[in-house]
Amino acid sequence: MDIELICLLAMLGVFLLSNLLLKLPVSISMVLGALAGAIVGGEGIPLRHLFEGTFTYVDTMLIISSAMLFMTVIQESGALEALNSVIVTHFYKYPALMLIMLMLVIMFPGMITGSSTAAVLSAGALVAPVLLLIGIPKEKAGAIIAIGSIMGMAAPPINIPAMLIGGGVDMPYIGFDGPLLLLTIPCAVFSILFLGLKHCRNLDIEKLESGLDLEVGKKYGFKLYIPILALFVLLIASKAFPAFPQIGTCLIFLVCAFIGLFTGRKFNFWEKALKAMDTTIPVLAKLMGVGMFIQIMTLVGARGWIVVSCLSLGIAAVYIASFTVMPAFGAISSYGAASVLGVPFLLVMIQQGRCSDIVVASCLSFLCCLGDLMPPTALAGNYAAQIVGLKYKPVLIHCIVPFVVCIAVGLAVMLNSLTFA
Amino acid sequence: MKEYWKNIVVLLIALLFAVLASIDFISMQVQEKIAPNQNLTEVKMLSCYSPGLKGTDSDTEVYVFDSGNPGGTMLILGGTHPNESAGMVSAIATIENLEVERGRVFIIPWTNKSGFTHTSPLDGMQDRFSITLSDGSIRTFRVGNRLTNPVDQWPDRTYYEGTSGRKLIGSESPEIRNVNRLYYGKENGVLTERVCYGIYNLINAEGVDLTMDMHEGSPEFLYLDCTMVNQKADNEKAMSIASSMALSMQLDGLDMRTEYSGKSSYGLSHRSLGDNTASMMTLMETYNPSMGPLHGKMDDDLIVNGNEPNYYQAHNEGYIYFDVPENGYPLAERVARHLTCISYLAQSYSEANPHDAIVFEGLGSYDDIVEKGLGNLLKPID
Repeated sequence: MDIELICLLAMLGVFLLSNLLLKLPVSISMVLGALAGAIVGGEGIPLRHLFEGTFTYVDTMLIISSAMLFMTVIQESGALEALNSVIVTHFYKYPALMLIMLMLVIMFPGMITGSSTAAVLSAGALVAPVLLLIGIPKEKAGAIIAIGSIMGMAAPPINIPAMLIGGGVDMPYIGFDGPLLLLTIPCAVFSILFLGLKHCRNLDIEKLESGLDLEVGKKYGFKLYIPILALFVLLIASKAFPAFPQIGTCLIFLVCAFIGLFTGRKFNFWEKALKAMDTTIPVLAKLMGVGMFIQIMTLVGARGWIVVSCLSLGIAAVYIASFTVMPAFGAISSYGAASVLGVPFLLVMIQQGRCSDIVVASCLSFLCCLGDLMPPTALAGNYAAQIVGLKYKPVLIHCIVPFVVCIAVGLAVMLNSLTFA
Repeated sequence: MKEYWKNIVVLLIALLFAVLASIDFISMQVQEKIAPNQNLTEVKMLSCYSPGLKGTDSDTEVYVFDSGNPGGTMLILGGTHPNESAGMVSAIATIENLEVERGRVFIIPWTNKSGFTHTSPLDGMQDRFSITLSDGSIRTFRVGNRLTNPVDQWPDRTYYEGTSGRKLIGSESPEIRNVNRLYYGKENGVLTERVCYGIYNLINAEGVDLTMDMHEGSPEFLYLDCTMVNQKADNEKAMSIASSMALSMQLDGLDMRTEYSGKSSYGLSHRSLGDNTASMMTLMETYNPSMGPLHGKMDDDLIVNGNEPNYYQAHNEGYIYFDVPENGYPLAERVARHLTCISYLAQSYSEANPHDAIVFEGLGSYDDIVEKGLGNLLKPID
């Protein structure tokens, strides 16, 4: 047996043992798995690599933390309640249209940041109360947010897994917009209508209004929405205009949160911010563990072993692995799935010929993104569940049908890539 | 109270590990030494040409060899991407061995000096490798990251347009720390751009006629064993010189081809310095198996001996077009290829421009370098 395979088995074995049997948190289990891999691989305890892997996603972690502070302010200032009132009272007569619009709102931050977590934490948290208000059960509302955020992550203009896969085979990130829209928009529309439509037929406006806080909107008026508007303006302007001051996504969230302190209800910011960070730290810890795990996999050669083993598989096995193993790898990291599996899978498929490399790469990236629903990490599912106040298991159960449909769409487009090229 | 103490203990343990790890990270700030060469005229800093670099971690040495005889001027760039080790080692070997007879030669071994102080997360890179010299002494070299250290330039802007017109957005955002994306640079731009401006200004100020930027690529890369040549008004002459170099290498049994800069290669040295200076710009790539996603365990065997069975297997199964050698592609061969390319390029240039000839020796032949190894080419440090 190859030493790389032994290392990989040691890493996965210790990770699963720690998480499932010893009930240790996912993040700690990943650290232990990484340590096991390094020791078995003859690297001892490589502190430099452990630290380097840990800080791989430091930018993402800062964005998540600042986005959480922004959402706390929006929630406590009353802006969320006011926004919900506006959407529901204006669109209750057209539930399908209302749901599709809400889905696009959920997707938007993921489209411009390439992160499902950012989508869940910003727009997802904005939309969740609306979904609950119009009668969608908590677990389905959580599922809608989770799926929507993943569709946003996969949709253009920014799809990081597609960029990672393309980069691995020297393919520029050009021409992906069409295939990615083809994959994401139908799946997003299907998902929200499948999960939500039956709950919001014949909405009773009086009943809805009784559940809404209409006063906060009247009391503070338009200024309540200034932080939200500022967020969208700053996010778009910073990506669209080079002359616009580049303060970064993290600072944009913090600036908008600061504005929100003066535009609505007063509250104890320190207390609420501490509470928000308490719920965020486990997710940040998972990202740190993921980085450490993949770094050690690369160091000891396990990553290369996986890639070369994939290349040795037949084309049929690669297609099967693309819609099974690839999303499953998301339990570790969807970005990891793209760079570890996406690149060799694309090489195998391109080599077979009779396919469009851009469409196939788009499909592979789409399947990678679905990995953000995979437990135990399940970044999108985890946060969506937190937003609706549930554990992630009931939310993930309702994601199964949309997940299977997404897989089917991804596979269908991939197998007929020339048709869609 | 118990919880309070538990938190303090956890923080102290984390701090202890952080301090121990930081010793390793900080050690990457220590630069390689270069053995003295009596033919060296002077050592300048790049901040002479880009004042905004003064006092920063990106200010880097420019080694000048002036024959004192009239002739052309050549600039050799190594370490544009610090993870492409053959570029830096070739530049250092040139500094330690060069004898210039006509014209001048400028050499920058650590073009992105800040990039040598960190490695790339998730790549599991070794941060250094060693070469045993002929006298038994050992020289150690760093392996860095292709990008400027975020400690020196961070955060990456979400949207940036360089002087070449290249837009850095999405996954290209971190490339704002890539020297070979920001040419021709900006005097008061971001730190990496100031490095580019320094090189642009050096070329203009010193009247550089011929520039070689030394790179390596992972085996998936399509332009290995290839020299890129700038496109501009006199491109036929530049291509003629580069083709002559490639032909000489082929006659020696070495694969080499030449291609024009890509039309969309904005910001890359061969394109944007070619468009904006009078220098003939070239960029050469060799195969480096430690850079690709298929590489196995990261160790000296991979970096110094270039031995990677995974890539050999992938090539045999038809996934890698580059002709991956079964027994690896050692660093010595990659350095020999770079140095041979430089020698033939200067020779071809001199034949085409006899009044501005650049004549030098001391680098040795390809066969000589490969046979005797880097241990013979590099000089002992006193």
